[in-house]
Order: sequence, then structure tokens, then C-alpha cells
Amino acid sequence: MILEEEILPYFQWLWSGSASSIGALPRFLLIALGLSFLGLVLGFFVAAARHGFLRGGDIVYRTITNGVRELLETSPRRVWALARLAMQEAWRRRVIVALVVFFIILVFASWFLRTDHQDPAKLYISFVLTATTYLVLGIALLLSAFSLPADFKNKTIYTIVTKPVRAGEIVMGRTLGFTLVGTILLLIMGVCSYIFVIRSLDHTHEVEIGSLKKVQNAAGEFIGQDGRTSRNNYHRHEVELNAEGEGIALNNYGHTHPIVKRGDRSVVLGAEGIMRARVPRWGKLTFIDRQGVPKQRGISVGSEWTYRSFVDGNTQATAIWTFDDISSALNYDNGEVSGLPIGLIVRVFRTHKGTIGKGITGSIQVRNPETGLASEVIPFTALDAKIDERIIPRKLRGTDDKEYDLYKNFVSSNGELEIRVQCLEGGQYFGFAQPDMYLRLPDASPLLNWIKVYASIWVQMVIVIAIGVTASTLLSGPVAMLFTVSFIVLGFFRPFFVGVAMGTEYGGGPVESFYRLITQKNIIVKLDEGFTTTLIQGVDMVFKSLMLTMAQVLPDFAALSTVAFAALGFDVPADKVFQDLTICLAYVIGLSILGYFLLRTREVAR
Amino acid sequence: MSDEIVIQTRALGKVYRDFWGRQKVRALKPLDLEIRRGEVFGLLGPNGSGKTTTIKLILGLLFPTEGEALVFNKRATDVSKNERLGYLPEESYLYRFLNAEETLDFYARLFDMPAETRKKRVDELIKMVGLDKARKRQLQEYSKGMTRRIGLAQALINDPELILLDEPTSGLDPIGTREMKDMILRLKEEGKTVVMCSHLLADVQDVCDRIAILHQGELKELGRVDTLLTVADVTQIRARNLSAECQNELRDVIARHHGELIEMDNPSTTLEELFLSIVRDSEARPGRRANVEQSTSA
Amino acid sequence: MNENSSFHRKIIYVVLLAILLFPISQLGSPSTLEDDGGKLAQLRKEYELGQSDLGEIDPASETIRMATLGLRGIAVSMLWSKANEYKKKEDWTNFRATLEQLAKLQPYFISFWKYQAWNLTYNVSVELDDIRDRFAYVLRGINFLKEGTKYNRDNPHLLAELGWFIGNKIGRADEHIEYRRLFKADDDFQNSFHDGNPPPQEQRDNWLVSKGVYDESISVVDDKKKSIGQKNPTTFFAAPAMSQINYSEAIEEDGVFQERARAAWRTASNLWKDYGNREMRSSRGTMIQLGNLTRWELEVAKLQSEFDTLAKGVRAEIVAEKRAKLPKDMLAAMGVPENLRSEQQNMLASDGQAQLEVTMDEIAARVAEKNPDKAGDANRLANRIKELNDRIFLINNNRQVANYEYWKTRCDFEQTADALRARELAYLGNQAFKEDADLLKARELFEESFDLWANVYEAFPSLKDDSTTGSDLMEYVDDYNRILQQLDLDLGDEEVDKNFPLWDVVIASDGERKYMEPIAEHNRRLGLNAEGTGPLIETQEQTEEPADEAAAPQAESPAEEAAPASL
Repeated sequence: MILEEEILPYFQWLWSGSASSIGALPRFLLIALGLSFLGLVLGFFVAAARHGFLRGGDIVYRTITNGVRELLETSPRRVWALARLAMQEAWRRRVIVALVVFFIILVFASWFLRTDHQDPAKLYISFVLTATTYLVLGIALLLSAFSLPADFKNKTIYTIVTKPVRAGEIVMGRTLGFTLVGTILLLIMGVCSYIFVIRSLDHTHEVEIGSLKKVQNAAGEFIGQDGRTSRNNYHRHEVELNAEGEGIALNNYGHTHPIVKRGDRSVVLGAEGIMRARVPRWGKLTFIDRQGVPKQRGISVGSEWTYRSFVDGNTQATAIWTFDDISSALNYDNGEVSGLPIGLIVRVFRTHKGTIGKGITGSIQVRNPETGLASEVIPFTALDAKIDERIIPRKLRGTDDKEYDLYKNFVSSNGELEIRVQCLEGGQYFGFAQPDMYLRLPDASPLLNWIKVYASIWVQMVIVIAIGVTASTLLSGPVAMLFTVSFIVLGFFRPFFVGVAMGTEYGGGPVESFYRLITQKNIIVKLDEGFTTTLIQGVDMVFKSLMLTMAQVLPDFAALSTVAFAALGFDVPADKVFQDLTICLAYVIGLSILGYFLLRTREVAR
Repeated sequence: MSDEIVIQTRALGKVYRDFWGRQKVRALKPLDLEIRRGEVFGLLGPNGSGKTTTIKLILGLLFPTEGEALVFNKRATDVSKNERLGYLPEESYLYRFLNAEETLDFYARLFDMPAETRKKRVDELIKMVGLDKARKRQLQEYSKGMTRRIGLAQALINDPELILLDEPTSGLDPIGTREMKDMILRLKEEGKTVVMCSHLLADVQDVCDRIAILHQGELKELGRVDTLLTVADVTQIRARNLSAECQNELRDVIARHHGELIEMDNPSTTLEELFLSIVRDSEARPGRRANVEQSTSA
Repeated sequence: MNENSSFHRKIIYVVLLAILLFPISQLGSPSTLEDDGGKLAQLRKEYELGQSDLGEIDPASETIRMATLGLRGIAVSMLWSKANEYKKKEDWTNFRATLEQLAKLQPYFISFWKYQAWNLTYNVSVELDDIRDRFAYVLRGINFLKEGTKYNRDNPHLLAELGWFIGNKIGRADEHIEYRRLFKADDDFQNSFHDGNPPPQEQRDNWLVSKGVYDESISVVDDKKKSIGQKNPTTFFAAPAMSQINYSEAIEEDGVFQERARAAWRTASNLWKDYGNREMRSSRGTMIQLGNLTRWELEVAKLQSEFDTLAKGVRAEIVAEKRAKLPKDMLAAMGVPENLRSEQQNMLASDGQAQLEVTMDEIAARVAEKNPDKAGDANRLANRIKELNDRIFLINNNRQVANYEYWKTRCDFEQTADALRARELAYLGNQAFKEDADLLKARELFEESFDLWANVYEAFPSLKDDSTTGSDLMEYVDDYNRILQQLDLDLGDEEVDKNFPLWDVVIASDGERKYMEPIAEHNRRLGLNAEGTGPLIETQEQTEEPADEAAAPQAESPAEEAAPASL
């Protein structure tokens, strides 16, 4: 699982934020404050220009006070009436076509998706979910952006606003109505796509009788057979059977199959583990460099992607994860082994070939951060690009060769435990990012996870609807649509957008990059000093600050998406779901207020 | 201001501007009006004279450039005034994908009516406007007259005290027109205030108590219909079976205040004549209040 | 009036439209079974631009291209950048999926297939740590390219590329021993690659499969008259023979000797000879055969002597005339012995020398002046000699590109019983050393092998000047030296020295100067310059030059390898 942004616990996220950011609520309030101030000043200037200072001030004052009063007068019945109208309208505008498109996509998906990838589930899930997202966002866009402008054009709005309907209710009603329509669509799509993924990936094999070889134990007794399955869905499995002919088709393409005896034949059953929802509990990662100095990050091996940093082998360099709230409640015991289950992803970087065909070895060690008591090292061989699901045994020897209990002796009094990983081979490196080690809690239901992912799609949809409806209070249909589309597009590329605004992307601001484009200068080359350059960069400064301001309210659609969780087989953390829902709520509230004032200050009959 | 005054405008004016804020059209020059409870008030004027603008300003669909409009002592932009008024727009701008029942139910909900009242009221109105048979049909299948009626029904959904009708009879056949007029009179009987604007003079003449005549955004005439149509300096005589001598004699008699007077009366001009003369006068001497009251003759 | 004219105008427009439509209908009419169709259809056929001429028509590809509604370019750009992003973030599943989508969008874009297959086979595979994962990506790249050859049937570039991947990526990687084994064992791949007819086990060697693909690429050029474009024919046509040679080398590395190895080398030798006899277009457009050098050299010599008799003394005459015209200082400079000239004198002298050059044309012209009756002959001979010298120059050039001479000798001597046995003994020696740790036996085997190598050198004297074989043998010497070290011996020890027959090879090929001391000792023993300085300098000069040449046979490979990887 790749998590470039750490997921904070909900309340920390809401109030205080991470080290590099402030909490979501203060941030929201700040932005709201800034925007209201901006709106106030702008409104006053417009009013003053029309009616003079005194009257303008009076108008602004009355608009605000009325606004506050009217927002409080909001009637659920009226909102619901308008929402129902919006739903009826959506239905009449053949929103059902979206479902037809969706089914067409599903039907033809198999033309473009092949199951010969080493991780077909990832591909299928991300395709289906991404397609759903785009489709739903598109529908949300079309519904929301054209509805109010159509009312203005047909003047049906006259009969609405001459009823005691508050402008805010119009915005909320529309948003609610389209959201409900979208929700119904999403529900249908969710069920169908789940079935589609399950059905597409389901398959079975047969045991290739010719491949079976008898296996004997040291004493020469027959203990079972090894072999392989037939090739289905572009892959086959190694098979291990016991003496009775039952066993397992070993993990390949991300899943296993149980094998049972039916009559005198060994039958391979359906795939297991195609869809999973691993529940990770992440810790905090710090490093020790090769000289033994604590560091926030390991070293770089020159990869463009700075997600992981590396520890060098056979030195003091160590990656240290600190987990809290560790207790024996986390223990896993199946009778054979007992201990703390962890998942570990190691990115191996070799500076020499090492022994060809052999993995790089590393070591795991647990340590009590309070007492400094450390266990003996547990050696392992790095599985590159795969999750190593292992168990740290409960009974461990310390460096002093005494036996200790993991939870009693290695966990500090406040429940913290350190797990340290080192690379043991000189000249080879292990790369880690914080989410690369986690405590494995029991898997959650993949179905529930699916629903959570759809909830995140729902959140994106609601935000788009809110933006579309708000934009359409002021703009005509096509313009509102373009406006919303640019919001969505910029939202999907928000990091890049912010990068341009902050000047961290190569090529300069919009004017500079346009200038480079037409003069065919590449993005690295320095512009000649002179008036033109100064002018261009001066204008860009204005643009960049505008962009930075805009970025504050731009929804980060890429970050809202949780498709990657489902695709990689991880459970979407509840914190993430609540955060997304909160963000959604914030957008709906903020945009409704904005929409109220836009609609209220608009002359309906123009 | 007394409770008796339902609508009051004070120097209400409207200038349409273009995108850059430049003045384009002066749609309404400062207008002072008072409309009292229980009267039927007509706004009269040719197309583009500012009567619809006035209605929209009163409804708050437009914002005044100067002055203000008060409805029930509240500003026109105040939404709460809408609780007590009903509005029938020029065309019935309704959702064509709803049927009559749904339409009325929807508007009733906008008045926050509870379900029972809503149901009763919707039923009543549908019967009142005579759409009982078509209540389940979508509005897009309605004829012009039916649409007009459902439009009226939605305007009355909240049993309003003040009803604003924009060209209530436009597009209606003679029977429909008659029905509409009867409806207006009935509303008046119920004690409601009706403000209508129209360019169809006959309608206004038949039902209005008072009228205001607008031309090019300016108030040209305001008063009771009967007063306005009386011509004071003219006497009209109608007689039958007069010989030539008799006629001569009559002239003498009249000269000497004798003879048989069949009818001696102040004739009324028609509203049409009044209207046209105002328009002519206004075009000849723009910017002045009309002065045709006493001296005009056809 | 007005209405009338607008009506007329419309009529004129319609007529113009109709007139314009006429040529379109003529030019664009589609071809049918009986009829060749309009000009466009004919041109399309002539240049094989029709989709059905290019290769497989895939409904999925057609659909998705239609579905982009003319925004294919934008879609492709977005997908390329997405692919780059996935590659950066090491999301190989999505990377591959994106490539497949791209393939559907631009299936006839050759560079795309080459570039992205390269990406998979060379760049992605090395990012993974487990050798089986690595190999899986090598195969994925190969399969991807194979897919490309289906869309683009009979494209020699893609086929050659495919041959290269199967041969060189699998056979030359650091992991080549495992890769070759996995390649042979992968039933599923062999099955799908050969469209359900997998070859028998011994034909599954990656080099042989690669040779098959190269053969196909050549037959496409020969039989279907496809152009190889900017590709150098010298390297292009050498490919199957090179694969066979590599195959022979590879099986010997695997420990297969005797008749099977001999047969492999024999085939290689035959293929190489065929290659030598192939007429290939040179860079100047003339057709040349690499194997046909001696014939032209002899002919030139013959013609030259003919010409010389025809124009006896003419050359000397012209030289004398030219010399007379040279400035004094130049003549003076040329008079100074070469090693005593100053820099300026050097320049003057070489300038003068250049001015004294006499071309065949000048001689022919002079002959014509003197004996007009011989003019025809002289001109003809001069032209012919010039032409032949050009040809010889081209052949020599291209022989160097292909390292023709070396491989020819190599194929010949590898077939000999001595060479085969020598290699086998070295292999056995290594085995005895590494697996059985039997030092004495290993040493014995190596020494036996070296004796046989000495025989080979005797039988093929040209090997003495050949550094590639030399450095090849140096590997054995290194192995041998390692064994000696274990025995506390050294190559320079008298006892070893006396029985070691390959000193010349060591002296000539010790590029890394690992054996400086033993060589010095050996020289001392031979009574040569005790310090060995004299001979050492010479050997140094020799070794540096061959080191470059050693790289020559694969000169094209690193260049090609580097280019796409660095993109």
C-alpha cells in the first residue's frame, strides 16, 4: 500500500493537524473567514458603485442580516420539495442513460482488460472503480450545472422565487435532489461492479496428474505429492497435496485455491484471497544512519520518486517503526505459532548483483523504547514488491539470551513497541516508507470495504454537485459546466497546480510557460535577463498568488479517491472515511452559503 | 402607513444597464403608487411601457435602481412577503413534466403547508379552475387555456391577500377571458387585492377600480376608471323623430333652454380613445403628466 | 431582384459542389474484387497502407479508436504521461495495463512497440529483485513485442528487435544461465509464442528461437520485398548466423561438447559463409559481398600491372613536374629526415607530399596526351581500378563492422577436435576445481587443455593477431591461475612456466596487466631484457589496440542498448 500522505486520526486531523499543516476545522474557518471578507469587500464595492456609499453600505448590511435570518428560516419541507423536483427533473432528463453506459463499459471491459497480469484483481478493481468515478462525476456535472440555468431560461424560477422560498433552499434542494439521484445510481453501480469483479476473476484449475511427484520425509515415508495445476486464466499454481490428496494450490497471481478430495480425484476449488481487505495499523518511521545517528529519513538511491528512503546494508543503518497501543490483545495464536502479526514491504536496491537467484537478507528486531531491552535478531529474506506477512513470535530471546515475553517485556509502560529492520548485506540497500510496515489486524470484509470506496466516490460526486449547483446560480449552463469541469480537472491535478503556484514546478507560471511554449524553450533553460522576462515573471507573480488562493478551496479529488485501497487489498481506514465525509460536509455548507448569496444578489428576472 | 395600503412605491425607478454598467434603457421613471386593500388595480400601457417591470420590482424579481417598493410594509426583496401574495406570470412558467396535482402539491409545499391542508387545498383549486378531469395529465399536454388556469391555481395556492396578475387574459378565448374576469371580480368580492397589468383595455375597463397608465416608463394617468372616462365639458343629446323645423326649433329651444330632452348626459369616452390620446399627447410632449382629462374629444 | 440573385448564387454553389464531388468519386472509389478502384485505392495498395496490409485488425482496437471521437492524439499523450507516472511510482501492473491501452490506440506506431517493449524487458525487469519476477518481465516485454508483430505483420524492424530481445536479453544478461534455463522450461511461453506448436525441447534454446525470428525478419525482406530502412544491412543480415554462433558458445558454457557442439559450430560456419556470399547494398548503393574480397584484390592487382605497363614512366614524370613547382621551403622541409623535422617543417612536408600525389586520372590524361590511341584503354583501366578500389574499401569497411574475419576463423577452428576437446577439458577442470575441489586434477585438466589450445594456434596462425580469442583464453588462464594460487604456485614459477604453452597469448592479451610479474619473470628466463621494458612497452601498445577491437563485434549492441534505455 502506497500512502504518500499519512492518514491522521480523525480528531487530530480535525483540530490540530499534522506537523506540517493545521487542523481541518481551523483551516476551514480561516478560509471561510477569508472568503467572507473578500465577498463583503467585493459586494460593498459593487453596491457602492451602483448606489453610492451610504445606500451601498445599507444594501450590504441588509443582505447579510437577511441572509443570516433566512438561513435560519430554512424549512426542511421546502428543501425536500425542491429536492424531489430536482430528482424528477433528473429522471426526465434520462439520467438512466448513465446506467446504460455503465453496463456497456462493463460488457466491453473484458476487451481491454486481460487477466494475464500478475495482479489481475488490482487491475479489475481499479478499472471498474475508476470508470464508475468518472462516469458518476460526469453525470453529477451535467445534472447540476444545467438545472438552475434551465429554470432561469424557462422562467420557471419566477414561480419559485415568488413563493416564500429562501435562496439557500433552492441551492440545498438541488444539491440534495441530485445527490439522491446519484446515490441511487451509485448503489446500482456498486452492486453490479462488485458482481462483475467477482465473476470476472473467479476461476478454477485442475490438478495436472502428470506433474505430480511423490514426496517422502526423511524417514522415507510417503507424505504427499507436489505438482502443478492446469493453466487457466493465464496462470497456473504449484500444488502441494498431503497423503490423502487434499491440499492447496500455492499463491500465484495474488490468490490460492484449496484442494479437496472428491471421490478419487483431487478437485481445485474457487480462488481465495482475490479480494482482500487487510486492516493495517501503521506506526511512525524514523531512521538511524550508517554512523548510528538518528535521522528522519534514510538515504536516497537517486530514484526520482522520493516516497521511500533507504538504509545501507551491513552498517548501523536501521529503519525503526514505533507502534503504540500494543497489548497482548493483538496476539495471533493458531496453536502452531503465537505472536504479533505484521506485514512488511521491502524495496530492495542492489548496487551489485550479489548472488544471482538469491534474495537479500535482513533482520528484524524488537525493542522496548523505554528500557532499551532488545530481542535477538530475526533474519529474513526480502521479498521485493510483495507483502511479507509474518509473525513476530511471542516468546523471544533477548540480546542477553534470556527468554522474554513480547508483550510483557518489549512493550513500554505506555504501550509502545519498536520494530527495527536492517539490511545485512554490504552494498545492498533496503528502502522503506512509513506504511511499509504495519500490524496486521484480522482482515475486514471486502464487501464492506467496497462500500467504503463507493462512499468516497459518493463524496466526490456530492462535491461536484455542490460546485455545479453553486456555479449555476450565477452562470449560464455551459459556462457553469466549464467552470465545474475546470474545478474537477484542477482538483485531480491539485498537487501540480499547487506546485506551479508555489514555483516548485519547472517552467514557471502560466505566462512564462506559455512564453516558453511559443519560443520553443525547454522548461529548464534560463530566460534571458531583461525587461520581457521581468514583465513575464511579474505578471506570473500575480497569477501565482491567485492560483495559490484558489488552491485553498480546490478539492483534492486524487486524495479523496480510495480506489487504491481496494485495488491493493487494503481496508479503507475509518478515519479516512470520516475525514472525507467531513470534507464533503464542509464543501456542501460552504458552497450552499456561497450559492445563497449568489442567488440572492442576482436579479432573477434579468 | 396604514394597514389599508397593500403596495406602496416610493420614487421607484429602474434602469437596465449593460455588462459594463452603462445605462441602456430607462425602464421605469420614478413612480409613486399606493394600492389599497380590496381594490382591483390595473396597470395599463403599451408594450415596453414599464408595467411588467413594475410588477417584477414589486415582486422582488428585479432590484430597483432608485426608490423602493413596499409590499405589506415590507421591502419587495424580503422573501417573507411572499407568504401572503400570489403571482400569475405572463406565460405560465411551470414544470411541464409535472401533472396538475403534482404542480399544485409542489407549490403548496413551498408554503410549508402540512400534508392534510395541502391535499385539501390542491383539490379545491383543481375543482375551482375546472381541471378535475385533467388532474393527472402532464402539463406539456395542456392547452394554452388549461395552462393559464393551472397557473392561476398555483397563484392562489396559499389563499393570498394580494394577487398580481401579469396579462391575465393573454392568449385566452372570449369565454376564457370572461371566466378570468369573473374570477377577478369574485376575488375582489372575497376582499382580496388584485393588481393586474394588461394592454387589453377592455379587460381593464371591465374589472378595475383604479388604473394607472404607463407610457415609456412614465406614469401618465392614475385614477378611478369612472372618473377618468367622464368628459366634463361635453353634453350629449340623443333624440328621435325630429323634423327639420323641429330640429331648427330645437336649436332655438336649446338656445333658450326649451324643448324635449330625450337624454342629457355627460358622455363617456371609451378607454381606448383615452388611451390613444394619452399616447399621442405623450409623444408630442414627452416628460409631462397627461393633460387630457377634461378637454379631450374624439 | 435580390431574391433572384441569391437564388442564382445557390444554384452556382450546388453546381460547384457537384463538380468537385466528381473527381472525389473518381479518385476515391474503393477497390473491389474485379476492379482496382480509384487512384487512392491503388496508391493505398501500392504502398501497403491499407489496414489489412499492415497486419491483424483488432475489433477492440478499432472500437477504442472510434470511441475517442478524434481525440486519439490527446488520449495517447495522456496515457503516455500516465505510463511514465506509473513507471516512476513502480506500479508495474498499471504500467503494463496502460501500455496495453496505448497499444490499442496506436497499434501501427512501430517506435511505440519497440520503446515500451524495451521498457518492460530491460528497465522494468531489473527493478524487481526476485529472479523469477525479473524473468517474467523479460518475457512480458517479449510477448508485448510479439503482439506488435501481429498488428504489424512483416515488419523487419520489429522482428529483428524481437530476435534481439530473445537472444541478447536472455542470453547476455548477468542472469543468463538462469534465464536460459527458465526460458527452456517455460512450457506456457513456448506454447503461446509458437502459437500452440512448441518446438521439441532441444530447439527451445533462446538463441535458436532468436535465430528463427531473425530468419523470419530476413525472409520478410527477401521474399516480401520489405525495406529495412536506415538499418545497416551488414548487421541486419548477420543476425541469424550470430545467433547460431552464440548458441554454440552458450551450449559449451552449459557443458555440451563433442558432436553436438561440433554440429552447432558447423551450422554456424555454414551460415556465416552464406552471409559472406549475400549481396548486400553498401552505403554507397553498390552491391557487395563480404566473402568476396580476394577476388577483387587480385583483379585490381592485375589491372594495376596492366595499367603500369600501359603508362610506363608516366607517374615518375608527373611527380618530377610537380616537385619542380613546389616552393623551396617546402622542398627543404621534405628534405629533412622525418624524425628531425620541426613542427612547421612537418606541416610543410606533409602538405608537399599531398601535392605530389598523382591520381590515376592524371596519369590516364597524360597517357592520352602522349598516345591518343591508348587513351581509351588507359581511361577504362583507370576507371575500373578506381571502381574496384572503392568496392574493396567498402567491403573492408563492412567486414570490420561485422568482424567478419574473426567469426569466420572462429567458426572454423571451434569445429576442430582440438578446440572442442580443449574447451571441454577447461570446463571439466573448472568443475573439478569448483565442485570437487580436486586441485591437482583441475590443474592437470587445464594444462592438457592449454596444450591443445597451442595446437589450435598452430593450425590457425591468424589467431595470433586476434585479440578476441586471446582475451577469451585469458579467462581460462585466470581460472588456471586461481587454481595455481590455491596450490601456492604462480604462473611465473619455473615449474609452471616450463609447461605453459600460451605465453604469447598472455603477453598479447594481458590488458589488465594482471600478469606483469610472471611475464617479466618469463622474459628473464628467456634471456630477454631482464627488466622486460622493451618488450613490455610493445606488448602494452599491442594490448591496448586489441582491447578496442575486442568490443568491435558487438559494437552495435551497446549503442542500441544505450539509446532506448536512456530515453
